[in-house]
Amino acid sequence: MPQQRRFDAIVVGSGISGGWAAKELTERGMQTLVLEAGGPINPATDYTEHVQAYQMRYKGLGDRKTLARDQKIQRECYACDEAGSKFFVNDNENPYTTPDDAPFKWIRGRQVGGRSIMWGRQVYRWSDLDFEANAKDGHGNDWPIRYADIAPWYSHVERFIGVSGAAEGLEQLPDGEFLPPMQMTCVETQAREKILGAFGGSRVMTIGRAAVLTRNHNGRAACHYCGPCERGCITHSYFSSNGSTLPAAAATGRLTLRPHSVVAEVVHDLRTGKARGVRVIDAHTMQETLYEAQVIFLCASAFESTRILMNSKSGAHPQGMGNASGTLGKYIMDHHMLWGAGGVMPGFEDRVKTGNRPNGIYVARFRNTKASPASSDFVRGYGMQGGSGRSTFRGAGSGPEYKQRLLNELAPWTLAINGWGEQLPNEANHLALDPTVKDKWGIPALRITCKWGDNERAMMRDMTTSAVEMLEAAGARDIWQNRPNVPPGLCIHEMGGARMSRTPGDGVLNRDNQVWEVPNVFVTDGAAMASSACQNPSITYMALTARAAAGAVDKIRRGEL
Amino acid sequence: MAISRRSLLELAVVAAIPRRLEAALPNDDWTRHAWARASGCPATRVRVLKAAERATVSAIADALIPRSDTPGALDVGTVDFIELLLAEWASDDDRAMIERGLTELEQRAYAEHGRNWPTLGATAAASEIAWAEAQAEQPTAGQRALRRIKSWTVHAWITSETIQKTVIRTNITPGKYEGCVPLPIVGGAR
Repeated sequence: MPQQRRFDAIVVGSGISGGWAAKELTERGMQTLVLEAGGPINPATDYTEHVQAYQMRYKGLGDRKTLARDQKIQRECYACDEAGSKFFVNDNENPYTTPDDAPFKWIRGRQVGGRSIMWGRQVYRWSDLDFEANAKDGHGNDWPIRYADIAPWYSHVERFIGVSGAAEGLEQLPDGEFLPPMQMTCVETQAREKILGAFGGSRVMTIGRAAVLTRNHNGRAACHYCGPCERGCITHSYFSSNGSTLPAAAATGRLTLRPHSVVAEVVHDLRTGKARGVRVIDAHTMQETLYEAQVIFLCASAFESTRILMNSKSGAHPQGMGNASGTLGKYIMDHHMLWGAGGVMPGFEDRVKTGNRPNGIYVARFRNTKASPASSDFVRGYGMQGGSGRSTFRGAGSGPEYKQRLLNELAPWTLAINGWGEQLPNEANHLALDPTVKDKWGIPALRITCKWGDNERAMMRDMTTSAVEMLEAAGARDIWQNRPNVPPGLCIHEMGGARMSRTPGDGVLNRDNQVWEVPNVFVTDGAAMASSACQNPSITYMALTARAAAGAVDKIRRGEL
Repeated sequence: MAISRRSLLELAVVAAIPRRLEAALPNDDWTRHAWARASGCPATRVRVLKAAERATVSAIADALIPRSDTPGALDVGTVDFIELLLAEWASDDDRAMIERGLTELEQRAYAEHGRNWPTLGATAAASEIAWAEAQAEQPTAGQRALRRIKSWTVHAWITSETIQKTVIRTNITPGKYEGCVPLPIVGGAR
């Protein structure tokens, strides 16, 4: 463990945002301490993407009783299985509470790399349709930035991480700097063309834009299409902190990484009006240490960063750091998902796919865009994700013929299209510190209150309707409709709690992700989001983080911090 | 350290991976990853079924997936796996259901065929499996037990090392993805 107690910068969290903060700060000359609550990861021995079912005790069925005992929330994520449960937190050590009528599934990873190990890898730029939405329809506050402010940083991020995808020229889903796209299946190619034709080009099905390499890039090997990325990747073919940003930061010689470091609070210095440092509890010894720095980046995940601010109470900040506006903890969001449909796609019975594509298809938002009429049922919109495939035979029977069918028979192609929708920023959806429950380290747990509203429910219904329309247009038969009851949280796109704003009275962070009242504290993860858009948000966190880190160093050099 | 057969197989799989991938890692990391994969947690032998129950489960597994020119369910340890699930994985309710179900299956085998399950023969066993899988508004414990045993048997067989490596020949690291390939080129469904 480092003996040094003072650094130029401290980054709390080593996941997608923390890794980017570490990279940008160290490359700009800052001696940087990264504090990670969880343990270290050795890809060579911890990643399990090539472990086969026969190498697992329960052959992939999961260690059911252990999951039920220790990870009863985490196990609801598909990736928290027999091979990957070690990348998810122990729910008993990391409790949180919710109202009885408002379940929220908070899926978390505490280890070096955080959730960048098991994330979904889908990356989509936001557009001004998203950054202007709050101002136009009055839900939430006006974003203090627009697409032009972040576009160069999207490019900066894409060039480093590598994003495969196809340019489509859509205003609502700006193109990025793409590596070659992955192939669509024959069924998806046909569906794309038929849907384009049936809806006058307004509904565009494209291949998913994924932070997965389709050719060697920045010293990382192209994907070898083994399939289960959520278990890690020994060739670092998808973007993770462990395979990309943290090694880049380490290469500068200015990175100090301290695992097992639970940050309890940011310590305020009344004399300077700035943060002095952070109070860290060693996860094993419980020993407390104060680490000091010129700037502090909170990148612990949306709700963890907000929790740290809420727990950072002082004489100057009795309601939590950065809460003069009263908005800290409020306007939290997730994406609602999986309402949609699927169907059997006739034809191509003599065709299959080879390899395991770690990606699907994406239908760009087509509701309430400039090119489409406004919906009378809801504001904002949704994108749709899915894919096609052929399952193996698992029907009734026994004996030699049944055995042959198990080995050789494929079902017809099916195609699924399901929505990922925007949740409106709503003050009633909020975080608070639970008055009685604490985590293993004695830090007050969060009480999460978050519900879907009427706008989200109307959008869900439209997702299923429009998915059926597209499947019919694509030539599907035997269409089934998906209307699952998915509580907030399970999309694992939790956002908000310390939103950016144009004025100090309207939010926690300024346009550069600085806490209005404590300018040497930056929050650049999902907590900063003032709205949720409908696109997967991780690349926006990365771009905001890189932008804020560059800005912080510039301000230090100008003597402004 | 002695190298087990499994470890040698794992290293052979690694050796088949395109060299461009191997080049992305230090040699020692790649080798250690192979060892990590080879150090899986094999099922230990657990016994929870009574001898007669195990004989029935074995007979069901054998009737479902018999040995032919390829290994059958009994050749790849499916019954041991089912015992492991019953011992460590299944709920108390599931275990009780299986126990009641096996009793019912035995009684039914005598009633319908005049023999116990392990001596039914292929035709009678197939008819019993068909009975268990037939639509039923409220399946009996016997039907539910046989369905569950079938589900576990098929899973254990298809995911077994023997079937994966010698029959299906699953390529863990294909190295490429193609979205639309004529079926004959890839040699069948799998």
